[in-house]
Amino acid sequence: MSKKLPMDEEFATPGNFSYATEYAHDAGQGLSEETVHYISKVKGEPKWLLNFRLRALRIFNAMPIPSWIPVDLSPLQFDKIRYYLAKGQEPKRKWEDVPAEVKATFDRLGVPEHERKFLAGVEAQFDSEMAYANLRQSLAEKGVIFVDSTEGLLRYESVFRPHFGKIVAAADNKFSALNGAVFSGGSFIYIPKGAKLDQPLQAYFRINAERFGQFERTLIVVDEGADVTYLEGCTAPRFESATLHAAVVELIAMPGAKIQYITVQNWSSNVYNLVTKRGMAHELAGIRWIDCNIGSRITMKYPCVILAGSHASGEMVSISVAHHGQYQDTGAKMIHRANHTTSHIVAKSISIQDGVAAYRGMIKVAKAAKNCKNYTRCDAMLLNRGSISKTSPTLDVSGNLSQVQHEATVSRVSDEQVFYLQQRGLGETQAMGLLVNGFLNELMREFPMEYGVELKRLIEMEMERR
Amino acid sequence: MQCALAISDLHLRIAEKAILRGVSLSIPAGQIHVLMGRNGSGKSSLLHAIVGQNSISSGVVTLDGESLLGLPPEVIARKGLFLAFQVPVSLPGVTITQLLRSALQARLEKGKLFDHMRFHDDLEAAMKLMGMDSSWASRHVNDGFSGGERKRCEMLQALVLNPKYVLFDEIDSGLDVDAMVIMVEAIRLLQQRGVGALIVTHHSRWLETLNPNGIHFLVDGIIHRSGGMNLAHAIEADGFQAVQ
Repeated sequence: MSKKLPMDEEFATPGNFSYATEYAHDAGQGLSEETVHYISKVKGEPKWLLNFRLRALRIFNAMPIPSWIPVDLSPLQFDKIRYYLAKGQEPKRKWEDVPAEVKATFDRLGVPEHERKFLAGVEAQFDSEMAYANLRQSLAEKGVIFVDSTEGLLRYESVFRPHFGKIVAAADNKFSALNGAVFSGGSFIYIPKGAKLDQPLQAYFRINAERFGQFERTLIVVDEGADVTYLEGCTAPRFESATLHAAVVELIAMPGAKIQYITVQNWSSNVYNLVTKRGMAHELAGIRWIDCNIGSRITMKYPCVILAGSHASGEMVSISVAHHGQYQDTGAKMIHRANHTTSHIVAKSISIQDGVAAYRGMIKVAKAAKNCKNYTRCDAMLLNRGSISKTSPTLDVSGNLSQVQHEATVSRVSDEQVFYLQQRGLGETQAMGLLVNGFLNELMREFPMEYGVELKRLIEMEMERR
Repeated sequence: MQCALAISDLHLRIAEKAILRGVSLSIPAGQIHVLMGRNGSGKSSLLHAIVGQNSISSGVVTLDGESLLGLPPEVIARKGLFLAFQVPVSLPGVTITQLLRSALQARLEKGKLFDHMRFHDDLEAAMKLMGMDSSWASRHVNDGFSGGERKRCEMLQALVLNPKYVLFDEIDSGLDVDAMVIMVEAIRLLQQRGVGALIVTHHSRWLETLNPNGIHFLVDGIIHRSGGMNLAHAIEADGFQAVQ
C-alpha cells in the first residue's frame, strides 16, 4: 500500500511528483498466469483478450533478454514488480470530479490553466487507470473516439480488435510480450474519414508506486484522409528501486491519413524505459514521430514506420539528453515496402558527464520497392570529457533505384565557447544551457509551443545538475 | 572613488614563461587608449588577463577603485568590462538576439523585470548604426561570418551591452575602409556615453580620425613608451624600431 506523505514533504525535491494514493485493486508482486487472470477479470475483459494475454505471457517466459541490451537489467526483478494497481474508479468526465491531489500534479507538470480547457480531450493516466478522461463535445460530434485502451476494447471492439496487436505482435520482442500479458491503460483513438482536429489530443502518464511497472498500450487508428496529433508527456516520482516501463504503441494511418505522435519522456532516473512504437502508413499517408528523451535510467526506443503504400512518408525527430548514469539508446526504423516512399530522420543527442547517448537506426528497402528515399542525420553534442556518443546505423537496401543518405556529426562544447559567453556575462551553467539550446534550436520548433517552453526549462534544469 | 580602469605592476606567467612583466596603465572614464607592439609582445594576453581568463601572477587591476583580481570572468563582464575578441568563436544555433538577451538578463538585478521593448529598440538602433539589416538579429553568432562581419558583430554587442570599458583586440584587422568608418563612429558613440576603450591595433593610420587620449607601446611584456599621436606618426614613418 502507498504511504501517506505530508504535503510539504511531497514537493520537497524538484521532480518529485509523488502523492498519496489508495489502491482498490492490486495484483501483488510477481507475474504468473494467476496475475494475468486477475487483471483480465478486474477489467471485465472478453475471452479473446484473456487468451491474447496468456499467449503473450508464454512468449515472454520463453524469450531470453536480448543480448544486445547495453546495460545490466538485473536490478529489474520481474518477480518483485507489481503488474497491476488500480483505483477501481470509472474515468472522470468532469474537471470538478478530479481529485485535488491529481490536480496538484497537473500544476506540478505546468499545464497552464487556460490551456487545460482548450485541451481537446485530456486523458491523464494515474497508475493503471484513467483518473480523468474528458472528451470535448465537438470531438464526439465528429465521431472521434478518445478513450483508454480498456474502454476501447470493451465499447468499440469492432474498430479496436481488427487492429490491436497487428502492428506490434506480442512475439515482436520480450518487452512487447510482457506488455501483451499485463497491459492496462494507454489510449485508444479513432479518427473517422476526413476528420481534422484543430487541437492535439493529449495524455499525461505517470507512475506512482514503487516496484510497479507501467505497461500502457496505445492504439491509434486514423481513417482515410484524416489527421491527428497526439501528445504524450511523462514525468515520474523519484523512487529508490528500479521501475519498469514497457509500453507498446501501434499507429495505423489509412490512405492519405496523417499522424503526428509527440512524446516528452522525463521519467525519474531509476526507470527502465523499454518501449515498442510502430506505425503503418498506407498509400499517401504520413507518420511522424517526435520524441524527446530526457529522463530514465535507460531508454531503449526505436520508433518505426512501415511504409506499406506508395508515396507514404515516415519521419522521425529525436532529441536525447543523457546525464550522469543515464543511457539513452534511441533511434528509428524505416521500412520501405512500397514504391516512391520517403523517410526522414533527424536525431540530436546530448551527453553530459558520463552519460551515454546512442543512435541505433535501421533503414530497410524491400527488393520490390522502387524509387524510395531516405535521409538520416545524427548530430551528437558532448559536454564533458567522459561523455559518450555512439552511432550504429544499419542499412539494408535491396534493389538499386533507391537513395539512402546518412550524415553524422559529433561536436564538443569548447572551453573557448564557454569563455566567450562568460565574457558576455553568463555563468558557466547558463553558457552551457545556451549552447545546448542552440544545438537543439531547429528541432525545438517541431514541438508545440508550450512543450517547447517546457523542454527548454527541462534542459536548463539538466544543466543546473551538472 | 576614482572612475577609471587601473592596471598596476601586472605580471603574468603562462607555462613558466613571463608574458607580462609589470604593466601599469590607467584609463579614466570615457578616454580612448591605444596599445601597439609587435606580435608576441603581450597585447592580447594583457586584454585577456584583465577580463579574467588568465590568472594574474601579481599586480593589481581595479575598476572604479574595486579590485577585479580573482573574480570569475562573468562577474568581471557584468561589472562593465567588454572584450571584443580578435577571432571570436562561433556559436552554432545561438542567435545574436538570444545571446544578447541572455547576457542582459544575467545582469538583471534580482526582482527586476526584463524590459523586452527597450531591448528590442536598443538592438534595432545598434544594428542600424552598424549597417546591419534586420536579418542579423536571427543569425547564429559568428557562424559562417566573414572576418569583417565578426568584428561588426562584436561591436554590435558592445553597443547593446553598454559596458564601462571596451577592450578591442585588433578591431581593424580584416576591415575595409567603409567598415572602419562605421567602427570609428561606434567608438565615438560609446565615448559619448562615457565608455572608455583600450584598443589593440597594428595600424596607426586610422588613429588620426580616432584621436586617442594616449598611445602605449608594449615591448616584451612592459610598456616601453607612452605618448600621443606623435608616437603613432613615428611608427607610421619608420616602423616599430623608431620607438624601440
